[in-house]
Amino acid sequence: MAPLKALRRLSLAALWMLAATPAHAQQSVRLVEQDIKAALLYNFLLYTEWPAPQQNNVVVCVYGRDPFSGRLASMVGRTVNQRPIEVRSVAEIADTDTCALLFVNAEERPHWPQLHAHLEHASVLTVSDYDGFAAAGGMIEFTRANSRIAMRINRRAVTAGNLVVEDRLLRLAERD
Amino acid sequence: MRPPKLSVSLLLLTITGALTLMIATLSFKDLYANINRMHQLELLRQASAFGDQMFDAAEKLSLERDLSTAALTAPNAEDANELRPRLTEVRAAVDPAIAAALANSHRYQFAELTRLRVAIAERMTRIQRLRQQTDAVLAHRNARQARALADEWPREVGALTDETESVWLRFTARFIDIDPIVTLHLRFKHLLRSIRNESAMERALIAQAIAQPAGPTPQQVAELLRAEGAAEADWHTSQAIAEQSGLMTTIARPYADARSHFATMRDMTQNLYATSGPDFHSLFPMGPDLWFELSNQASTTFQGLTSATVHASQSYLDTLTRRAQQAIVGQVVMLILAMLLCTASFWVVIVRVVGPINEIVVALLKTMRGEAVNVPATPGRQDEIGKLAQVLEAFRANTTEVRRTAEELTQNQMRLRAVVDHAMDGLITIDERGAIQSFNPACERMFGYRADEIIGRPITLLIPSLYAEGDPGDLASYVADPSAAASHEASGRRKNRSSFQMDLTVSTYVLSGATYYLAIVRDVTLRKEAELALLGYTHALERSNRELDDFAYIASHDLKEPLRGIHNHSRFLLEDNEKSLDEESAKRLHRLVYLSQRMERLVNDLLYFSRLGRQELAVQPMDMAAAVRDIEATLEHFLEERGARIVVKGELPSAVCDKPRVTEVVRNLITNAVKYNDKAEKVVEIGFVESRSRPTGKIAHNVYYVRDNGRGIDPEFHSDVFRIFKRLQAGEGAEDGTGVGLTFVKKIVERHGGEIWIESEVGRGATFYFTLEASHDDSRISPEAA
Repeated sequence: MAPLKALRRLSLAALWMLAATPAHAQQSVRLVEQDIKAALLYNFLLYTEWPAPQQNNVVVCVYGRDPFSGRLASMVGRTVNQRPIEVRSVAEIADTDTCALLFVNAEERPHWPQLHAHLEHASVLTVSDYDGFAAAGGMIEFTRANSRIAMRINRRAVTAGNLVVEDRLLRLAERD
Repeated sequence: MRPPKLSVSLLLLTITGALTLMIATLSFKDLYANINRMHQLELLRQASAFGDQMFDAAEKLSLERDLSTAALTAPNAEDANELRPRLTEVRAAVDPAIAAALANSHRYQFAELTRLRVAIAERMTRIQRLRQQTDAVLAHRNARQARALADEWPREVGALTDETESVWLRFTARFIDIDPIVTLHLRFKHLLRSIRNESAMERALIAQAIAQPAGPTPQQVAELLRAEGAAEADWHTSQAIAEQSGLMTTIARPYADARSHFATMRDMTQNLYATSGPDFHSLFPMGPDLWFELSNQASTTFQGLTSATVHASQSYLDTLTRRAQQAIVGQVVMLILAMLLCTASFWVVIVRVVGPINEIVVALLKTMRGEAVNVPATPGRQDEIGKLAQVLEAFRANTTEVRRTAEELTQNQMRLRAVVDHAMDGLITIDERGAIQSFNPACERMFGYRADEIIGRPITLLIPSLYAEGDPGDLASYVADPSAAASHEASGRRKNRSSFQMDLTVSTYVLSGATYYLAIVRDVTLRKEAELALLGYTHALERSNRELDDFAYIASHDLKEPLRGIHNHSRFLLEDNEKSLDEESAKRLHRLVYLSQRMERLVNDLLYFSRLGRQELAVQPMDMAAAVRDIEATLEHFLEERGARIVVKGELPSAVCDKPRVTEVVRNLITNAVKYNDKAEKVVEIGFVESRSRPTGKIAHNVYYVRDNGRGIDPEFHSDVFRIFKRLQAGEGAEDGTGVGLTFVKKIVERHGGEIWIESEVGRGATFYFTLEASHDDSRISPEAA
């Protein structure tokens, strides 16, 4: 836990620096929001059932630039459903096959159709935070409702990917 | 008081019994300890289950508290209403859980638990009231009341949880001695509850902060940081305890999951402090329902760890119980085996050792007392008992033999005693120092002492000559001289100091290494007197015989002169006056001459006979066969004239004798055999037999015989034939003779120490047997000689 603590202290120090400069206020909003989103990925992993795990590790992939600014690093070594979590940064579409969860950077939105086509029947839980991701065939889309973080879950996409999302996760999402 | 006798068998039985008792005691002690331990483990298991149930109920109540607080502090009615269904759901779960825990608590008669029941009942009444108030407030949306209630929920539930926890800690204190690992488990579970409570408080605070328009207050931040630190410390401790107690091996994965989830929740709110202020809600975009759901999910994950722990702890307790049960079964089996072994030992000791030994001991005692015994049957036993039985058998046989020998000895001794007591001779035993050891009745009569007054006193008292010099060594030399073994004449001294003559024979014997002397004494006073008298008679007789012989010689010698005168004068008278004498006178003169001649022959015979008694024998070796041949040659004319012949039967052994006299004997017997024989062919048989039994029954050895085939002699006259001048057949045409021949024969044979006898019957011839030396008679009947 020592690295985690160190990391947190570091981020706390960064936080104070940002708080001292109002110009970066928008930045800090992003900062806390990304804390929540990164942590929520753990709950996604917790309540999703993959058909037949290919490997022991649960692989969390980020496609494109890391929008969590290294926060996912603290997830490495933790376990979910008694399996260790592994974090990868993926640049090539072909490399996404082994992922359990794939977070697609909003900036990669143009590549989504290709990605989607590649992953159409793959058991990869796809997550992103740009508007219209779920509608475009993504499985979980972070949204904001009344200035609060919410989730939209595309059940058909989930079913198509041969995945099962438990009620406790669905409970987090807004009703379709 | 004498200590009780401890026999070997009793000792064996005591030792075996003590061992059995010891084994039984030890086994029962262990068994009791294990049963007790199992009982305690069972209690612990039940108590643990009870505790889990109780804390499960408390946790459900905590959830209600969280939901209620969340609903009461919800910023708007919409949010609050969203929580209502779940609140109802939780309340439905809380009540039965609490009821079940309370019901289960009745199992334990523990004062603290009773108080806890009362306290919980009271708290539940207040919680019921809180529920009603909460429902009312949620319906009317009174913000002030809502805040007051939101503060009251954690107070009530926290108090209940604290009370339960403290009672539980005291309750388990009485079980923790059973097993150190179980104690660690209890500590671990306590830590988990602690973490859960801290997390719950932390999340409740965050929930409050989310509900507030400006985010967390500084007090809330401080409290959050404290709870965070406490939870972190508890996690740290819990890991150490889980590893130490071995729990980690079974709960590692749920533990990692729970801790990961906890850390992830921390990550989510790590920058919460930086967002307080008017823009809080835009900076921290978390809705109360989402937060509640996330908290709930973290609780669920944590619940997984709690369940796994409960399960692991229970299975550990089950293992302990199972091991205790196995130990009990093993001990019962061992106990039964030990008891069987002890029984077998008892059986072996009693039946195979003590029994036979007792029987053998009894048999030995009986044998010792001379009673009849049955030797214990130990067929085929090769061990010590079998050998003991063999020894007993040998001992019994020996004892019987010894007893029989002792009886024989006693009888022999009595017989010997009788011999000694009734012996005519005096028997005295003397030790090396010359002291008298025994003294028989004959001695008592002889010496006049009683045995009891002479025993132990010196022998010289009785026989002064024995130790003339007073040195006991003399006695030994007395015996050592071989000639001394024969009897000596000695002088004995009676009690009255008179002396008497006795024969003394001393012999020696060694008994148990000591030398003893046996003196046999015989009073010869009477015999000596008799001998003297006999000697006198013998001398008188000899003198008389000699005088008689002298008389016979003188008479016959002196008679010859006048007889010759008578003869000569008669013949002169006849020659001168034969023609002048008448016939009658001449006849008478012839008769006178004849009678005087006969008278002269008789006198000559008598003279010869007397010489036989007076003259010594000239003894020399004599060849009997040659002698017979000489006689045959001498008598040749005599034999031819009478038609007789001599037959020698077998070998005639030589003899040592007076040759001329024995020749005379044989010639006399031959001429007799021819003379008194009426057969035309007269046969005289001469022979020798080794032995011959006489008509009197005595047996004679080295016997010569002369046999004829004549008329035989009537046994009536067998003794008469040897009398002097006795003629059996005078005047019957028999041979002329004086009738002294056989008298001479008998005299010569007797002078040689021999015997002569006739065996004959009328008409069957006669046989004269004679010996030339005294033969020893014995009673044995020898086979009849041919």
